[in-house]
Amino acid sequence: MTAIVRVMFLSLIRDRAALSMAFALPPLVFIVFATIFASATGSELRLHVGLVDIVRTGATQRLVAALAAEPGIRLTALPGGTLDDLRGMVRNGVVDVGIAVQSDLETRPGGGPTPILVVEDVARALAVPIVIGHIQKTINEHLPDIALRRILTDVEAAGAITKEEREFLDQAFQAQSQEREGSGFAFAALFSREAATRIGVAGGPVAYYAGAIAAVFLLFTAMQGAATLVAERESGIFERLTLAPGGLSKVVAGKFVFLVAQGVIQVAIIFGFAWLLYGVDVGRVLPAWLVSCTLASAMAAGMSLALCSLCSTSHQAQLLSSFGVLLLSAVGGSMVPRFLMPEWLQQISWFTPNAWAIEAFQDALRPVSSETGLIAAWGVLSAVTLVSLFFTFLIVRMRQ
Amino acid sequence: MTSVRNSSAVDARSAQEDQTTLHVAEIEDAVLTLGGRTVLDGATINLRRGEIYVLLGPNGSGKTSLVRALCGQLPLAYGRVGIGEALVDPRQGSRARRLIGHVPQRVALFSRLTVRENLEVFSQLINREATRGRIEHLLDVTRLRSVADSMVATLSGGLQRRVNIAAALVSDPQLLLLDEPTVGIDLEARSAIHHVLGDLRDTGVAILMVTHDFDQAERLADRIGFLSEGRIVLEGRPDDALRSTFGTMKQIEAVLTDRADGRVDAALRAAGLEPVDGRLLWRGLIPDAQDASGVLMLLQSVEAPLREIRIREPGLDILFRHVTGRSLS
Repeated sequence: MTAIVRVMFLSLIRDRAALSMAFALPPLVFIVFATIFASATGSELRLHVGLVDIVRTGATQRLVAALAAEPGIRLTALPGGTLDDLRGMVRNGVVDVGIAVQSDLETRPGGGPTPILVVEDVARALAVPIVIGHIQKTINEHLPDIALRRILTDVEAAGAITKEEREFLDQAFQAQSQEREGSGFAFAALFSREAATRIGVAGGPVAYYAGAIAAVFLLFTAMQGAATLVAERESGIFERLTLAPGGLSKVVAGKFVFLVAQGVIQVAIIFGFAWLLYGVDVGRVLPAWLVSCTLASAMAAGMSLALCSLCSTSHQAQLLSSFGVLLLSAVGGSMVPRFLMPEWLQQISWFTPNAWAIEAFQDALRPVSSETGLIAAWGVLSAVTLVSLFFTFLIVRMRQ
Repeated sequence: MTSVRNSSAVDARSAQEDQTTLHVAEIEDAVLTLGGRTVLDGATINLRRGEIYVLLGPNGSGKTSLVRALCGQLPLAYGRVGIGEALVDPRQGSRARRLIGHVPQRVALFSRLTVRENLEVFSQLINREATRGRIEHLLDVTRLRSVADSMVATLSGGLQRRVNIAAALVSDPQLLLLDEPTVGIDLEARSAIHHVLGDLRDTGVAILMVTHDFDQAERLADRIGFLSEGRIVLEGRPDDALRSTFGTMKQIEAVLTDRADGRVDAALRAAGLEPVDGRLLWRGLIPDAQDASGVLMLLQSVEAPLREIRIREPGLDILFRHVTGRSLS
């Protein structure tokens, strides 16, 4: 067995392309993915919004000022611009979403156009609810008097309060708004945020992508390594070794041990970069992370060996290692987080190794609050490994 | 079966050798059926210490199956297999299989490892940790010392073939099985391999070589076996086999510069020659070298586009055709 570990090791370090693929490419791809997706789905998301204030009342100007200060959007206001100007900016992709403030913020339904018109590009439909959320949050937090006045207008129209009472409340809201900058209103205190984990996952969404990219590259490099099974069979090495007692079993076992060790190092490099660049602190949860890392590597090695043992030619193994891994990675949540997928696809993704590997890494980073999930992930990874290895030994023995 | 062993001279010699020479492997009356087709149909081979036995046969004649059966990798429907001095059935235990060194037709090596590393690894894989001395000895025997620390992928085809043989020797086998060991290499490299195999024979290893190369067989073989339709149809020393079959007959070859037309074709066949290579090379047997002049006159009378007439002792190729009625190709 150690002989094959030695063969795999020497073959790897003497093949610079394979070496780069195993250890240099994964952190590079991780950094690219982390940069892209952390900004797309995390707190760094800043949509570019174009704004035209057509009515320019005191309230709308306050809204424009508040939106300009909102960290979740990048506002480009068009002073003196028209609705057509705004449409042109959206159409040309200059901004992601356009906002036209086309009537006073207290305008009631039927009393004129809606106060805010959102101009969207259908190709960026996802941006619309995000921007609407930001506007509502901004109104709640920075213009609560306006929000309340809109409600009071309805109440007044229903005859529930008198004109005098309405004037009194208007004055009170205005005074409160000026004195305490809105913080005294219940609206402003409607939301607060808290991390669900006792031990926060430093690095946030980046931690997810460290696990997601690790899962992809574990499978990629394990498939590359396991494909040597096919190459060695084609070259006649298997034919030579069938004479040796337990020869082929030793080959499979040696490859498995090497691929697990290679996987652990590979994942360590990815998380090392995640720690250095994004502060994903693995050190605090090292034992659990190490178990997840080892089991995910073992799963990738076992599955790859099983799949390659079925392949008759190197070409088949190459196809499996490219398209198969890409497919598993896409469905399993390595490209896009599973929670962003349709429900049916989320259910299917549980049948992919990537999903369980990602779960294992994620749960390992917050072990205290998700012991059940972590143990389930470890269990699945272990079971897949054992079944795959059993299958590999069986196929190799049958082919022998 | 047309067998040289049936002739009295060869029989007497073989009988004498059987008594004095130790068998290290045998397969007897082997019958093997694969997928409903009879692949071996009563094949028998005995391999002796310190000899090179060359097995010749056309594709599909059962050569590979016979070798695999000898290794215990195929279950025989009938017959007996034995390896080693005690002739232990290789299917019964790994000890018997360990006495076999197998050189596959393809270069079955780890290409990114050096020659020395390959020998060390194969030694570990077959459960016999070769000592440094053993590895160095093998490098000498196979004349690979100068490239011992070179990566296999960087070696020439001929050197890779020699490493292929060396890797089969790490277990210190009593029986070495070689499947077309010189395919695709130049004459110089082939000659080097012949030397290596000769040296191994001298150390007492029994060598069974499967090949299509009659020239190689003539040069190397102590004994040859013709396998046809799952049976050994001729076995013996090449010289004995040729002498007992052809006596003083000579082989005549006519080399044409152009394809034979109808008249020339008929004349060549009338002289007992048959086309061998794209109808430009014709080959046959004549009772005596002097009879070549008659063939020459006949061909000149039909204005055959003759380039060359060769007279030589009959070779294994014509013997094979004579015995089996078919050529290897």
